[in-house]
Amino acid sequence: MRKLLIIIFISAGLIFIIIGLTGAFQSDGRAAPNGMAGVSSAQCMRCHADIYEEWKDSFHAGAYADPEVRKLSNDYTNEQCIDCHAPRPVLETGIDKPPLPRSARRAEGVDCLACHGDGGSIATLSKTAAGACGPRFDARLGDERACGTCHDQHFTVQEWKQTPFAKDGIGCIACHIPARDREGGAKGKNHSMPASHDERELRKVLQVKLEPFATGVKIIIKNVGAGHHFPTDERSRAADLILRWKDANGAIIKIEKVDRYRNPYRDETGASDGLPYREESPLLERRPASTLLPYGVERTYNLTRPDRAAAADFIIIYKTIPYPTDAEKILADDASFKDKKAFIIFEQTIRF
Amino acid sequence: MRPRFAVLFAMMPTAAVPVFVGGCGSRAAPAIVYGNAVAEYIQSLERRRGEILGETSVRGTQYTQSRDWIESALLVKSGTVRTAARQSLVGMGRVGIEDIIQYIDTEEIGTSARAGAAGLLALYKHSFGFTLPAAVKAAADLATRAKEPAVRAAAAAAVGELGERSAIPELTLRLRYETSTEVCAALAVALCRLGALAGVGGLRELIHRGELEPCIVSIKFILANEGIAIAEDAEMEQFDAALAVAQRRWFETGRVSSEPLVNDPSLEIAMARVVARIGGADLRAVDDARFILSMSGAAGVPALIVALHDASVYMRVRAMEVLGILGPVARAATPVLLTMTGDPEHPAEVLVALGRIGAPEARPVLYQFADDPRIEVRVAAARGLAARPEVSMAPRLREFLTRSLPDGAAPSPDAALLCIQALIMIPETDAFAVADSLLQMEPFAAHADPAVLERALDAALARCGIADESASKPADTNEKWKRLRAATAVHHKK
Repeated sequence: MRKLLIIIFISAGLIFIIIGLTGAFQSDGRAAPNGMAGVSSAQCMRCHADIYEEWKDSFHAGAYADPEVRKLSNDYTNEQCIDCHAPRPVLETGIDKPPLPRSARRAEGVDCLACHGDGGSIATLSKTAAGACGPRFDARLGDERACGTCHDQHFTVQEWKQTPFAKDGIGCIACHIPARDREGGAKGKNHSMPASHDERELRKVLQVKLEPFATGVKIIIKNVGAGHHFPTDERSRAADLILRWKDANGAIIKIEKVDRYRNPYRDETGASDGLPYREESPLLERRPASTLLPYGVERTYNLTRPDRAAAADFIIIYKTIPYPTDAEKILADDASFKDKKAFIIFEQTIRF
Repeated sequence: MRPRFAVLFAMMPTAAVPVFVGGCGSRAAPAIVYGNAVAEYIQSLERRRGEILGETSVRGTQYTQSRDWIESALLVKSGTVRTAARQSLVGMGRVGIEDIIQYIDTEEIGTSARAGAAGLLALYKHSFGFTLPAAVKAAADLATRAKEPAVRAAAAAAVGELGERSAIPELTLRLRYETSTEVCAALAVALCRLGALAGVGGLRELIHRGELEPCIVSIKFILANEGIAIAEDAEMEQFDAALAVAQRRWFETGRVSSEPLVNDPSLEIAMARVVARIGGADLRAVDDARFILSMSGAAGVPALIVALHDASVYMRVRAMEVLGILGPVARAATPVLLTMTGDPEHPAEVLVALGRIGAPEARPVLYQFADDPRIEVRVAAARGLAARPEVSMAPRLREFLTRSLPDGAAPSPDAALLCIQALIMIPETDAFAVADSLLQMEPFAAHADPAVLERALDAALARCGIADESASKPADTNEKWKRLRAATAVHHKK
């Protein structure tokens, strides 16, 4: 009887909660009274539906709930991951410091307020914006340091500073939140934030030259499209250049792993698959050296053609999955491509 | 450093000169002319030189005029001579130690010589009864940055012997990233000798890796110091369990044996430096500092309390965060934190910290803020309450599930889930009643913090007696909902 009473008591109470939650998430969208602190991205949707639609499928929106991130952070038992994956508004905590973690609405990941929130108001790069949320122009929003609060933890902004883009004032937004025409001729910005999960963007990054000669082939690869290293980031992003040597009948006679472009994470010490990225660097930084390709830098490989080789497939696979697995395994596994965990960003066959 | 034989002869004790000059005038040529006999003669001279050096070691500083001569002896072939030379330098005091530090940096010497010299840095303390800052710094630098594992291990042991607690943070961090078992063992033992909590954790880690042997003596020593009895033929698990007891004590008290760590000025200064790093711009440094502090237990609390008064909001928030990670051991911070609850610059963080520390006097404040109209504050209060739930909190937690929200407040599935999670974790509550509450949250799961949801589901399944059927491939969230629904349905039918 006592148990039944408890159940009835709790169930009745939950009705209140459900009513409240339904109101917030389905229609009402009431804002918290104290500034913008409690505003969810769903509430921004009421006026900015198109931007919301772009954002909700972006990797900013999925930053906290992403299964790979949850796995790597031991479901956020490693609390330091929360700082960037569900940050408080960076304009509040300071664009020259790492962000602080948010307590509520973490499922929204890098939400609208993470970039636009600033105390009780909304920061925007538009000088003419007006609306219920009281937007005001704030140049800090376009400052690369604002992105750097999270993204420079893996050196992306520092890499950008070494490029001519930095001197020319072409910042993160130019490529990653590009201009977009909206309904009614309005100008806007693309909040889907095309980057490392966008195959079309990835294909623009490398310039690959293949120069066959009598006994082999020369490969010249240059980063011409990324305003930072290729790939940027530590650990998670990697690109593999592989060659499949084939005989006259098209049968594979040798697979050559030519290079891996990757910056291993600071606590990595072991090679996972024998690819040639491992070079112990001295002293405390005893970890595999980075093989990322800086902007404008060219890397050349001279490869000797094996006996009987009549052709070669040159493939560059870009991977977003953490900890690299063998490129050949990825090629054989369609799921990686379907899940957008891997992309073939270059593929060409040469016959000898 | 290069051999300076000219100086060497000039500085040599008179008795040794005739013999030595005769033999060493042209060391390579006689070997050709006289063959093995000469080689043996030279070796005998080197042994003699070793004896002389040994004598200088015993006589100490009165032989400082022989310094150059001894320095040159550091680089000869004979290991006996080199060892004697190193020891004699230690006997010379400050200048000798400086020579040893320079010698360690010499490119020509091998790993074993470098490791031997690193070990000698601690010998000075045995000879003179006090430590030299230069020796401490050199040993700590080598323990954390030397390329060769053997040198890092020897230097770590030296730091432990020197008893220099200012090195604790650096050694703790090195232990985090160290990959060599030999060095891990040396670091863990050194940290234990310094009374640092991280050392006990390091030793336990070695036990878990099946590497008990290198540190068995140290483990026995620690356990004896702590008054923890261990059988002569104890198994690995017993050592681990005994160390776990010591680890808890060290975490809570920040003390080793009867010596209070937190009153050690060198440690306090070192901890204050670490705390200063949690407010920095480099997230790696912030993370490393958080790690060191979380590994230091009570030892880091005084510096963190000071940081709560920092002018920078950022620093204050980080300090709250680490105090929360430390939990009940940071209870001394509760009164300060309670005065900060009204501060609009960190309304949420202070509540989470208070909840995680778990002092009963903070609970009324958490209850009060659990009704706050601001969603961030309400969720933070719920996080605080869910951190250390106990039976006396159950009625209030139920109340939060049933009460109306403050006027204009945005509802949060996270706050509700955290309250449910807290109720589940209280053993005295009715597991199935709470599971029913959780099931009613299912329609809102998509909007909830997935990590909180997962933990609530796992706790509910465990409380309802539903074990994960395949440990190798844990059930996904949908499967967990399904199992919980099935279990509660069966229970209600009964």
